[in-house]
Amino acid sequence: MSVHVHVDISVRDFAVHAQCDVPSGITAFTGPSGAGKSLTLAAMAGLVRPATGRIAINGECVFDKTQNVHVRSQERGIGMVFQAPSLLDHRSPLDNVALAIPRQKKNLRREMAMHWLQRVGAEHLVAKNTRQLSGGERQRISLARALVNGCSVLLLDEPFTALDRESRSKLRQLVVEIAESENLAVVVVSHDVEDIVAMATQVVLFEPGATVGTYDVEQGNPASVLEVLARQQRS
Amino acid sequence: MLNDWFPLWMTLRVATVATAIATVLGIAIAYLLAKTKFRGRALVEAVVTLPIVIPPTVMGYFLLTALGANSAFGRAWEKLTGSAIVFTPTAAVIAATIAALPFVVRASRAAIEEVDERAEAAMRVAGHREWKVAVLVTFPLARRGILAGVALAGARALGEFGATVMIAGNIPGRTQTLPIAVFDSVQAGDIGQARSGSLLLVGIAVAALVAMTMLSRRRP
Repeated sequence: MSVHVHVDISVRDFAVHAQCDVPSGITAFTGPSGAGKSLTLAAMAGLVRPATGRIAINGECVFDKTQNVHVRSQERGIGMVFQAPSLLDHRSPLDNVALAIPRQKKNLRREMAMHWLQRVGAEHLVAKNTRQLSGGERQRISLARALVNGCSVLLLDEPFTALDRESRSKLRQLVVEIAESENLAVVVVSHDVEDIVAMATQVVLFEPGATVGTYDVEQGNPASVLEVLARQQRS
Repeated sequence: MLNDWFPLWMTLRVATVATAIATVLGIAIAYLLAKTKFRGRALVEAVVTLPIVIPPTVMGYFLLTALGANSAFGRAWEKLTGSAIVFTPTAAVIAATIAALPFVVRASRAAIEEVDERAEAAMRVAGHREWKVAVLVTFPLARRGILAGVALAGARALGEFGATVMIAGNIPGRTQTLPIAVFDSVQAGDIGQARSGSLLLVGIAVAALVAMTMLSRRRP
């Protein structure tokens, strides 16, 4: 599982030049606010069309400006979780996951949804009212929704920002376990050093408007992450 | 009490059909205006909004010109159905639909633009086509605004007068709606009939608006 990104993205008066390779494991996109991390993520997901460049997922080109290739979000095999868990409050947690599965019979959809709700430790929430879920519970449902289609690439856009310390820690652990067991290429956008230390095996540093480097780090080793982050402060 | 119940029946029929058509058409136009960029979008928006700002009689005049026996559409309709479209209940429905349409479009467009784009993006990335994203996410999340627009459109269709009288006429027992019957009663000095008709119209409009407001507040 891998993603190759080499693009220039321009949206209104903001532009970002992003270049990185994301292998299996967890890659953290980090850097100051407004550097273009989330925009790069949106381009990887096909939600934003870059101005120039190329994106390939598992070796298959999904965007190439020169060859006029733009594979739609729907066909990229990507799962995505946003900062605010944007669930459908008028639907049950089970429905929120099941509805994300296109072109399957209802029973199968519910079975698949149930399987992933169990995997993310949210099976007890199935019958709850979605409006009454806590931030951590909502993010677990969002994670199940992102994974239910068997994606090979998981994009997490500041998924833990709104959560309390305990929920953050549990969800980080969950993402690490799932990334390993499913052999996923995961990208997590985060400003939080704890997130990066606990999860990342690679860090992509952003400066306003561009990526400045990709660095391998040792998962769970704060020193290796801090060394990389220090480069950002020096640059 | 009304002497003749036909205008009330006619009004309810015309308003119901017109509101239904304006709802379907209005939501589709609102979705296009909110979600797509195309050349002439501002013009489409202006044309759709026009019935709110121009006098209903002027709207009626244009409709008469566009649908009358001398127009291409009028001739084609007559060839197809064997009778003219103007001065028929169908013409009354067209007038009421056009009068009601901007209310659905404006309210729905605002509501659709307010929908959390991330909720739509999550379904898009999951593999759903745009129409499915609209059905599963956009319209349910925008339902309150849409229902508010439909309520206003229904009230407007109930009270439509100027354009209706121009293209559907005032034919008792055929095209006469309650607002036109009220006008007729006042002209004839029959204040009792005018009062009954007016109170009925106000009562129906208030009931419809209250029902729609309650419906839009209800959690599905």
